[in-house]
Amino acid sequence: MQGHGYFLVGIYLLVLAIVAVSRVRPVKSRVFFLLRAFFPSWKFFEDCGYMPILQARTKNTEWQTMIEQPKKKVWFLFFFPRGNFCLAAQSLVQQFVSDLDELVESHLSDSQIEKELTVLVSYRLVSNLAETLLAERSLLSGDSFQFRILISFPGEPDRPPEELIRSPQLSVGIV
Amino acid sequence: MMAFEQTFLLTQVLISWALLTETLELLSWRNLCTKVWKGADLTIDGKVWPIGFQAVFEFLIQDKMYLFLLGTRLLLALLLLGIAGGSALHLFYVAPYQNNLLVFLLFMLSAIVYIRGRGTVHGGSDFMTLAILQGLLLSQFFIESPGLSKCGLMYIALQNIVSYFIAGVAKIRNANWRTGLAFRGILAGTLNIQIPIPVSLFVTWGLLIFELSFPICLISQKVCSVFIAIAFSFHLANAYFLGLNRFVWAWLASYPALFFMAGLKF
Repeated sequence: MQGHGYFLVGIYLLVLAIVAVSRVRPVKSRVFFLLRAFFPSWKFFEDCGYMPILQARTKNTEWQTMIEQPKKKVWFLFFFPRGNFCLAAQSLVQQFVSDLDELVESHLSDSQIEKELTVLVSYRLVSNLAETLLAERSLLSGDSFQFRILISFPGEPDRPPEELIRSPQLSVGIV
Repeated sequence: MMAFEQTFLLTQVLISWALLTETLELLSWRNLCTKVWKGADLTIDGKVWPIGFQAVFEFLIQDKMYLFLLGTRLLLALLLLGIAGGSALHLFYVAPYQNNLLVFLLFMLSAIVYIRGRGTVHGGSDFMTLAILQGLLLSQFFIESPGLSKCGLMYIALQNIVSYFIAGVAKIRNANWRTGLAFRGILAGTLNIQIPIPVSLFVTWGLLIFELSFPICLISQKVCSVFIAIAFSFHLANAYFLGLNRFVWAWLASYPALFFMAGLKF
């Protein structure tokens, strides 16, 4: 590549760098959220100070961590479905935490937040996730279960995880 | 220098491989997917669409439709791999721009799968997959004009460069990354490994310098080869330590376009 080709690419990257360093407000549109694969955000691991952990229990069990990365087999590079399911599940939990943050920032009362929670898609999906993983481990013996989200701080090993939210007792659906 | 048509074919081969392996994985955990991401719960998302689109959205996200879409995507990816691969190996010849219907259908099916996953299923690798399919479609759309047709491959190359560069900018703005705490935290959180701060600092700054200097890969194809080799190793390491195998194949499919762009004379 020569001459003004460098110049053009340089200008393009300069504009991108300016956009990257300038303050941006996140777009809160739900349509944009569903279409975000068309608008790449390459800010990987931008904020990794905390990690949400999904735990669940039934009346007969203690709290158990639900999402655990499986061991890799030799062919994991080509085929690693369980690993990618766990990554997608973790993203779902992260989405729920973000939605919860938005609800809290909207200054609703606790009872209003509780009501809004039950219609949040991410809350329903996380409930499904907890129930499905409990069933997978043959732990769903009764007719109810409960989940909670803990926030851990991997960079601070001496800081214990903090409970962010705990669901009420939820009825077991048809899984 | 790699010719335009060679680059186009190779990109089609690699992206169809990425789509094929991704779809096989999705089919493998389809039962889990429809139990967690239930169509009935996802219909609430449909309320954000204009009235005319809501019915289409609700139809497309049904659990049985999801399996049909994945099955179709698998067959189309296999077909594209066969046709583009056969042409690349000179077993027969089908001009790459004649696969435009296949690429278009794969683009639409991928978009629906990702929208059903509430934006993305695999995060960044979905972004790159769609960007590559968009670039191929762009090239095919302007196939009558050689100059404009190259823009599609340039789009893929620029998305590749931007993916590393923006990732570097986003990290260097964060004090946790500059001080090595972020990388240390990632290893502690995902692998339960504690490493000394000096080691974390060394690795972190090596990564930051690599990502921020990525645009230099356009200087020449020799320099580009070095960057691609380092980048591919980086993705292999991420796949091994963090389980991000999808990133390997998605980014691999973008490297031919990057190499091609590095050889262009403007």
